[in-house]
Amino acid sequence: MKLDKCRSCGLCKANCPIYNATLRETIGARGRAILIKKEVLTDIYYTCSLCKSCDTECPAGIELSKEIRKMRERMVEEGKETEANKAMIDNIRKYGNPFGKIEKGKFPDKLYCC
Amino acid sequence: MPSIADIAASKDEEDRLVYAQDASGLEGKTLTVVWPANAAEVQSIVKNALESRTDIVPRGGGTDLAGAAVPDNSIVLDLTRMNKIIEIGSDYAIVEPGIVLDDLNRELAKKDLFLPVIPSSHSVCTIGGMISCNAAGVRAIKYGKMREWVSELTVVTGNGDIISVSGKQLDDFCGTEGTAGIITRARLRLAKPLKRYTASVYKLGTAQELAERTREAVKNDNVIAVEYMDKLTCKLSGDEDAYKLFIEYESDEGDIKDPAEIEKRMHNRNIIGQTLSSKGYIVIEDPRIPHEKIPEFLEYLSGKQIPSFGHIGIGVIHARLKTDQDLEGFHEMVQSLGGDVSGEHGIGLTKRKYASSDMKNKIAGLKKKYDPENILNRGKIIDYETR
Ligand SMILES: Cc1cc2nc3c(=O)[nH]c(=O)nc-3n(C[C@H](O)[C@H](O)[C@H](O)COP(=O)(O)OP(=O)(O)OC[C@H]3O[C@@H](n4cnc5c(N)ncnc54)[C@H](O)[C@@H]3O)c2cc1C
Ligand code: SF4
Ligand code: SF4
Repeated sequence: MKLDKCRSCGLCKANCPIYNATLRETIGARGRAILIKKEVLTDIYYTCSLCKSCDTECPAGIELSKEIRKMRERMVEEGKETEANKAMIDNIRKYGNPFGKIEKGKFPDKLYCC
Repeated sequence: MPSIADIAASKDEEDRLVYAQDASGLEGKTLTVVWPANAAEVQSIVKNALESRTDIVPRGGGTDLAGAAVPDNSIVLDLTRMNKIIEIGSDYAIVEPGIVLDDLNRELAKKDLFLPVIPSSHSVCTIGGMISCNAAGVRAIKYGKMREWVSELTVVTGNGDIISVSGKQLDDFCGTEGTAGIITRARLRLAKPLKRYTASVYKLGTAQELAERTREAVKNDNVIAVEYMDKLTCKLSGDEDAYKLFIEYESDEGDIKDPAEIEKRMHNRNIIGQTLSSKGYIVIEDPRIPHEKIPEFLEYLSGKQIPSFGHIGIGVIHARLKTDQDLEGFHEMVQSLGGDVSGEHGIGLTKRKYASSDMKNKIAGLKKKYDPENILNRGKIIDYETR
């Protein structure tokens, strides 16, 4: 179900792990829903763990996690994804893993996350 | 006093956009979002705002349905990081305002206690927001509204004073939607969890029968909740064409004995509002109608194709309208039946036009006493002129 049915009720943030860790509405489930509705392109979509807890809480049946994914795809299409994301993708293409060249017995220099 | 520069705050565009809304569907304008950590920081923010006469909107879970947490060129004061439980006693708890109701009740359950006012937004609404809206839940017949469970508050007023409030003075801050002060601490009365409860569901053909069953039910001392759905709501939720009455008992009288089954039905009841929203019924009304006038009101609603459900046991009718339905006529009907414009969700911005003169006079008096510069939740409930 699309986000035009979203009434910003906030129930989706109840078990959003990112919201609960930060208590910052903007990077919790409802915040993302509001930003998507406003078509804001922002790194904030990369702070979502795609855990789908918001999907199970939404009384309007919205699959918010899918919409967040779509926004990430749009960020990539428009060349606006994060630098870390670009590096991870490059590394996967080149080395088959997100960390880059790994020598036996050594840890990678950077443990990328998006 | 803490320096303003040391208090967590953001002017990021994304934060300003997100905090410009609550659950009412209205959108305002945020200047800054601040996340105070304690009452001293709240006091600093208020004193600073007084200098520039900038409006402050206190905010908890942001689930207000009447726009009471929507900013208007305001500082949004997000109190959710002030969420500590300070003390749990044998029949009371002292808490910070930002604690979420479910989080508090989870801790209280370990001591065989609970705060029994449970709005449908229980998983995200905060104690501060519940006090400020004087929230109620489905078991309001037994447990009443939030005001009855508050015994003491610490408040930062619009003058920047930190005061301790109890007794009759609590009415100045319970149900006044953050227009008189910012609650920074609350001492709450608590109840023992229900040991046994059962429920019954009745299908009824007419509004008259529904009202009669309700009247009988509320006379029974064992009844703790009386909820209904009208025919249109049942139909829109994929159910059969009948009025449905849900009665919960603190005894073995009900047919449904399994608590899990009762909770499931309660959960389904709690999400009806969103189901109706998703079908286009997005204007949220919650009048309180005198018991004897309920059949007439329900007939009116069904004639106008306005779905409704709610706490019929205490006369609170949750009616949902589409934006092209006659809201003016709806309110005229409520008034002609001697009803109150809001039995639960408050006045905020959306119902300002219909607020009673008693309520408006009360807020004007509180502004004079606690917030003469009108920097707290400006424009909510009334337009207050400072000079
Ligand atoms: C899905 C859903 C179901 C709901 N069900 C019910 C229901 O069953 N019963 C019911 O009564 N209501 C219900 N509501 C309305 C709302 O959830 C309640 O009124 C709730 O009490 C608001 O709490 P909050 O923490 O979200 O407050 P907010 O929305 O953040 O704020 C509400 C008001 O309180 C003020 N405020 C918040 N914190 C403070 C503070 N610390 N000091 C001073 N002022 C403060 C705000 O300025 C605002 O005026 C529902 C809302 C939703 C979205
Ligand atoms: S729970 Fe659903 S309707 Fe409510 S804010 Fe989240 S996405 Fe929107
Ligand atoms: S999928 Fe993302 S937005 Fe949804 S609950 Fe999980 S972390 Fe939060």
